[in-house]
Amino acid sequence: MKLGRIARKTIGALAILLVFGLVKAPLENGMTRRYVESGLIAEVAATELSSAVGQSTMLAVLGGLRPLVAIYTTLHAFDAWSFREWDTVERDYRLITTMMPEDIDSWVTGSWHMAYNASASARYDDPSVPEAVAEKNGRDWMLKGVAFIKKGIQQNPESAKLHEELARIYWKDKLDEPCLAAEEYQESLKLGPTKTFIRRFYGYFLSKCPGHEREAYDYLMDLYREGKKQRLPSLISRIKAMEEALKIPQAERIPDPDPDREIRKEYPNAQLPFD
Amino acid sequence: MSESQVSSAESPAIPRVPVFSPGRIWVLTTSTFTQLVRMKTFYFLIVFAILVAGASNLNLLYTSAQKLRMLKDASFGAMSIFSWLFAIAATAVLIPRDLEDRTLYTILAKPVPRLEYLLGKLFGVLLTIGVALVVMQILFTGFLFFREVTVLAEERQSLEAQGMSAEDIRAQLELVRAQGVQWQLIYALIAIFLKASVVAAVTMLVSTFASSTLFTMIVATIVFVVGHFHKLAAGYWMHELSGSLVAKLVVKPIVMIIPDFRVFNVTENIVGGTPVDAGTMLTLAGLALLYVAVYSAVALYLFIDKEF
Repeated sequence: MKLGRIARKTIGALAILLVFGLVKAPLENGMTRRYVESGLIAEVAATELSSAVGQSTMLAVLGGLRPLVAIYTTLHAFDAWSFREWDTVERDYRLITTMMPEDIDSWVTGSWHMAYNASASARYDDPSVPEAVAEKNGRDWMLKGVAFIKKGIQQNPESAKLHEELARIYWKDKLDEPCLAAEEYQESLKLGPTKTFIRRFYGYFLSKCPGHEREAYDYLMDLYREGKKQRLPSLISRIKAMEEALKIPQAERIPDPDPDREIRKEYPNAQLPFD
Repeated sequence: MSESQVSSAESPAIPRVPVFSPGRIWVLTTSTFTQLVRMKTFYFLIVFAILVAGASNLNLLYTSAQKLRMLKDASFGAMSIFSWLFAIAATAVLIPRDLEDRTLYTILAKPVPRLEYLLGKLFGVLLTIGVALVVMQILFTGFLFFREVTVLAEERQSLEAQGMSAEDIRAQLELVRAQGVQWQLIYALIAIFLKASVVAAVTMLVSTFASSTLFTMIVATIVFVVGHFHKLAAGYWMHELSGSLVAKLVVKPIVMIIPDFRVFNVTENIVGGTPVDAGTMLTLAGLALLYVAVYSAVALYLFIDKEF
C-alpha cells in the first residue's frame, strides 16, 4: 500500500518535471544563445580545457568559479615567474586565457611574459649557452608572445589594446618590424578609443617602413599642424629626420630646433627613442 | 428569530481562517530566519571580510585595472560559493530539524496549510541568503571604492611621470574606472541570488522525500554540479550515440529534469564589465521564479499527504 503510494507519487513528480522540462527547454535554450551572443556567458572551450586541467578544476570552471580558478592560476604563474620557469608561465597563461578568453589583460600579461621576460631570460641568463643559440631561443620566445597575442586578437577582434600591445612587441628589442608595428597601430586606431600617442607612434613606425616615407611625412606634418599638444620632442625630431631623408626644401621645413641634435651634442653615442 | 440565529447567538463565534495567508508565511519566514541566524550563519561574513581585505592588498604584477578586477572576481566568487553552499546546507537541515524538535507537529496541527509551511521555510532561507549577500556587497563595495581611489591616484602619477597628454591620461583612467565601483555590479549580485533561489528550491524538493539530511545534501550537490554541464555532456553523448534509444530514453529526460545553472553564470562576465540591461535581468528573474514555483509545487505534491 505504502509502496504503491510512493511509486505513484514518484511517477507523478517525474511527469510534472518532464512536462516542465519540455516547456522551459526552448525558453532556456533561447536565453543561453542570446547570453552567449551578447558576451554575458563565456563559451569555454571544453575540449581544450579538459585536456589542460584536472576533473575537479574543470567542474569548478563550469560551475561558475571560473574567475577564482583564474586567480589561482595567475598566482601559480606569478610563482613560476619568480623562479624563471617560463614553460610553466606559458602553460598557466594559456590555461587562463582558455578559461577567460574575454579577459584582455590576461592576453597582454601572458604575451608580455613570453615576448619580454622569457625572451630576455633565454638570451642573457645562461652564459654557458652559445650566443647564437641564446639569440635564437630569445627570438623564439618573442615569436611565441606574438602568436599568443594574435590568438587573443582572433578571440577579441574588437580590442584596440591587443593591437597596441602587438605593435609594441613588433618594435621592441630585436624583432624590429616597423611596418608590422605601424599596421597594428593603425588597427588599434580604427578600433579606438583614440589615444594621441598611438597616432604619433603610427606615424613614427610608418616613417621607418620602406616605401612609406612620404606618406608618413605627410601624416606627421598633419599631426604637427594640430598644434602644441602634438609638438612633442619625439615628433619634431622624427619630422626633422624625414626632412633630411626626403630632401624637403628649406622653406617648407619646420622652424623648430631638432631636440635630438642638442642631446647628441652632449652625448654623441646616446641611443634615442625611435633611432 | 430563526433556529440558526438562536444557535449562532449561543455558541462562541469561530474565527474564519483564510485558506492562504501571506501573514502566516511571513511569520514562518522570520522564524526560519531567526533559526538560521542562531546557527551562527553570519560568522561567514568575518571570513569574507578577511578574504576581501587580503585580495585588495595583493600586489602582483598587475595593471591597475587587473588589480580591481581581481578584487571583484575574488569577492563575487566567495559570494557565489557562500550562496549555493548555504542554500543547500540550510534548506537540507530545516525540515529534519523541525521533525527532530517536534516543531513540525505543532505547526501542522494548527490551521497552517503545508504549502505555507514549505514556502515559509524556503523564503526564510532566501531571506537569510539575501541579507548576507547585501552585507557582503556593502563590505566589498567599501573595499573596492578605497582600492579604486588608491589605484587611480597611482596610475595618474605614473602616467604623468611618463609625460602623457591630459587627454591620454583621461582615456587610460576611464579604462581603470570601468573596473571600479559600478551600478552594474548589483546585477551580478542579483544573478547570484537567483541561482541560490533555484538551488534552495531544488534542495527543498529533495528534502520532502529524502530519508536523511545527508542524502538531501548529496543529491542537491549532485544536481547543482550536473546542472552546470549536463547540456554540454548531453550534446556530446547525443552526437556519439546518434539516434540510439538509450540516448533518447536516458539522456534527454535528465536534461529535461535538471535545471540548467549555466544560464545564471552571467555573474562572471557582468563582474568583468560586460554590459547588461534590466530587461535581461528581468528574463533571468522570470526563469528563476518559474523554477522556484515548479519545484515548490512538486515539493508540495510530495509533502502534502506525507505522514510523520
